[in-house]
Amino acid sequence: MVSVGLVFVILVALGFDFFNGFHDAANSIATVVSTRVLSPRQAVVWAALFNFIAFLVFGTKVASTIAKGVVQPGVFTLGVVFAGLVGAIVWDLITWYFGLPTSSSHALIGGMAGAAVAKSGWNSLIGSGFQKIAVFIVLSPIIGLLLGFTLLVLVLWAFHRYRRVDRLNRGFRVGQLFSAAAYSLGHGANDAQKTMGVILALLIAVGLKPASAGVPLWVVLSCHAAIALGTLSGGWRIVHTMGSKITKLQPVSGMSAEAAAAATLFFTAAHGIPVSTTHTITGAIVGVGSTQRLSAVRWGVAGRVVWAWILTIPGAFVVAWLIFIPFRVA
Amino acid sequence: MRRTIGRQALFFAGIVVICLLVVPFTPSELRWVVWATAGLAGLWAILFTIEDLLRPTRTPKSRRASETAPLAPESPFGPPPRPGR
Repeated sequence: MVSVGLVFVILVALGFDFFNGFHDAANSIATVVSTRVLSPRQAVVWAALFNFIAFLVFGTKVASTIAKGVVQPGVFTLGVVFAGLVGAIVWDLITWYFGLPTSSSHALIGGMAGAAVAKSGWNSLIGSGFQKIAVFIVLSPIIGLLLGFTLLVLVLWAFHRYRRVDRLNRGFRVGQLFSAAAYSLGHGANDAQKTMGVILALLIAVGLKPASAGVPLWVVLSCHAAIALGTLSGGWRIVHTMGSKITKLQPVSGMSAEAAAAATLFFTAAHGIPVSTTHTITGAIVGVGSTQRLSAVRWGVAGRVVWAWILTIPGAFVVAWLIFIPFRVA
Repeated sequence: MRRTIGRQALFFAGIVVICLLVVPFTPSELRWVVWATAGLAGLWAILFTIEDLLRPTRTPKSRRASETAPLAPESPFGPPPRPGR
């Protein structure tokens, strides 16, 4: 039977997805806006469209990893999922207040783990699932960085004798439309699926779905709709940070950074690995910035991403653990 | 004359080290990703090292000479023509 509590927790999960889209919209449109290929308003519509249609392109492997590969499925209850979600949201708010670039994805994983450990101890975690996620926390920005660097060097090398700079720039601007679309597709596929995984775990926990069930279509559609609506609601206010604070971007470098990040996200989505889309695009932007010279990159901003790597999962873990304590007492 | 390896080569070498540290913790079916990443970073580290080692270094004597020498009126390696020309 569908209870009020279940509906409430699903709404909280969709709210988390909405704010993920709101916050991360800047990542997908920052380079298009900062190079003036699209206006902020056009860019958010463009990104939201591709966030939404990602469900047509990618499967739901990431959702399955979140639902069945991080915490033992039997441990999930309404209270565990609620505490995990609220833990992730509270951690996001704390890091937002202190200006740390957090990853909502890692916060969600840390939150779920914290609530699960509070309920059933350390045995409730699946070591192999955590291992895969932890490895790709480190690898995804590095892959983005290397692909961004390599792609930009190849493009510059291919066109360095071409003297019609104005025509070339026009071509790269059109290319940016496609690279931004590809990145939004990867972002939608990766981040919306994390919420799908949470809702699937919840449906299995309350007995509405068997443990072997896939993600229902209404969950897929509602998660993609929530992230697309979040993107549409104007995350472009923080465009400036991603578009110009890490390094100054030209159309060619913006296109290369987005294409590199999109390729990384496509790979991880296809292999069911939940990664931080923010860290991936940050790595790619650092990569294209490194082609000029290393001092062209503002390492302070990049260094804060490393702090987010270290702090997010333990931070959200502790917050969710504390939030679950009243449920345990009850 | 002293040749040094630049920061970019060291940067990519550092990435190779990080990848090698991550290998033992990576699930076996995904280890090829770490090796490919390390390989690409290693390639850039080697290319930057070669570039640094082949770059002509300026001795204090030649630097003094270049500071006092008049600018060449015509150079075959002058700036590229302006866009559109």
